[in-house]
Amino acid sequence: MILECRGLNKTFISKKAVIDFNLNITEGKIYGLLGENGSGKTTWMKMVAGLTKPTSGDIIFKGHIWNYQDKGTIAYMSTEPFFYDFMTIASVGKYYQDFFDDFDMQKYLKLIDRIGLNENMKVKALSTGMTAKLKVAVTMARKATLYLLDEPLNGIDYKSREEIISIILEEAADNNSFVISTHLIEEIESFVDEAIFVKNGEILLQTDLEKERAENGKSIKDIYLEIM
Amino acid sequence: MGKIIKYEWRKQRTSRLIILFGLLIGLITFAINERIAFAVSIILMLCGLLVIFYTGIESLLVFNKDLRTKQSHMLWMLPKSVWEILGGKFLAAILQMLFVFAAFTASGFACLTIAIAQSGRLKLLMQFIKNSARALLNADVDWKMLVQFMMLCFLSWTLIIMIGFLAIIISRTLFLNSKFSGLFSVILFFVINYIVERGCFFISKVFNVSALDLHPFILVYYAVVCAVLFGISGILADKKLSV
Amino acid sequence: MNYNAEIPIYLQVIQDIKKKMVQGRIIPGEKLPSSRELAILYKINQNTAARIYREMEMAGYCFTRRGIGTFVSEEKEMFEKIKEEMANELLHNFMTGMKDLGYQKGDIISQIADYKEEKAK
Repeated sequence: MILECRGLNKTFISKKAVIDFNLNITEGKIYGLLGENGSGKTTWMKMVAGLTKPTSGDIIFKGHIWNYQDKGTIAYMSTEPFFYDFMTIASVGKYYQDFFDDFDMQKYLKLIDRIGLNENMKVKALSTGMTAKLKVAVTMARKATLYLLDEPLNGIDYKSREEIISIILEEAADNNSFVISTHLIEEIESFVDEAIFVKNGEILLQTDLEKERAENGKSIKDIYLEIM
Repeated sequence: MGKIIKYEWRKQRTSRLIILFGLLIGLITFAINERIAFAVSIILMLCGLLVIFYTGIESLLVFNKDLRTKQSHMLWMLPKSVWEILGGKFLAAILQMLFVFAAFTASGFACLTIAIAQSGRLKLLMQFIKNSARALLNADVDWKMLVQFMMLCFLSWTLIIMIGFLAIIISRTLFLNSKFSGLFSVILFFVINYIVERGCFFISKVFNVSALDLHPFILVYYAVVCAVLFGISGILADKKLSV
Repeated sequence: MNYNAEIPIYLQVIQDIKKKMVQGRIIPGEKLPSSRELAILYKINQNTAARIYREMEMAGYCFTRRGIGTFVSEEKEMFEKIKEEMANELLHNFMTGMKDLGYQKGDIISQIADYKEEKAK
């Protein structure tokens, strides 16, 4: 087990964002985190990524209580663009290389080239789609144990989505896990092992998709429409 | 930590370039036109005050911007403790201050050199240096006073930074990303500042010393307050702040 | 590949590979992609890819040489058998469908004889 959340809660002053999350993430699997905006997906990811602390409950990472050093093997990609204005694509790579031992500069440069970006481009001048691709590239150039991708296909044109999905699938292995949050359910349907449905801060269902298809003849969309 | 400082330092590069450019323009005007030299030096000094004030709080503006634009992810996603992050920010602020002081001191000397060179009296310059050196060596200056005064300056400034960090962290914790957050942190800044000053007043009464006296107690008080504020900021940032 | 979202993905991929075998796009004894490559090719995860080879191996469609990779069966008869099976399945589905509409076998045969293939657009 890579990650275990027990009774996880996050309460902001105005609202309960995450309510009693109990959740296991296992090695070698890809998880789809599904739910409307504001359902608690992002808050949960940020807690595991260390960008916000739970109000109560435990996050157990690889058998120990989560601590900040675990960020060294957790690769989190947020929805919002977050690079510094003064950066170029090359210096974004340099930044990751400076701070993450699991970052592979060679791989980063290859990915950049593959998605049609150029080292000398300024981050500030990138279009929404380009920034989205850059975020995926720099995150996937890490050899992390847990990847948390918050809306990785957002803002990416239809043609590039295939490429982005390939990049993700190439990195997926027996010893790592992916949690991908998205509202483009059909895009991830074929390669997600388990879907986690979240609504109003609560987990409604965590289920194996092949099993759902084999036993109940249900697609991810069927389940979504049924329970959400 | 060194790498964190490197990137924090980079964030303030634009202001450094602007300051250097301004100084250069000033120096050139000073050098080419004797008649307006006096006016230029006055303007330089006034600008200097403004610049030092701005530099003093620039790290607070940067921190607030980090949180507002979510560029704070860049720091918070790193496998670094919150102490290293805040500490790195503070050390980068000190470096920036030192840089600005150094730039102004250097231009001051440059002005002096130009002035003396222009009036063709190199001897005078030598004399000046000699005199200054002698004055320093003869310990005409009250060294103890000077050190204490410099420490007080440094501590007062540190206090501003620490109060600022805390005010921003509290404000961003309470209001997340609302527009109100920036304004609230300014108000909070003055409130905390007021509390600290009341504390100082209280301490000086208890120990029966004048706050203006530069008594070691005051220095110790400020140092302790800075440490405490930094501690609270760190704990809050670690436990409550959502970046 | 376009999937039917209500049928297990692994079955659909196996079906596709079998079709390629029957069409001769995969020849007897050919080395199949690694499960990682298969995953990327079909946009599926590692576990589904591994399952596909497991199931295919159990059915005798392919075999694994440790450390080298997975290979399609070398037996020509296997290919014939797959072709027959797939044809039977299609036919079975077709017949069931027609019978549901009330056609008898005789009617169906004459219908097929009269059937004019639509020209490909």
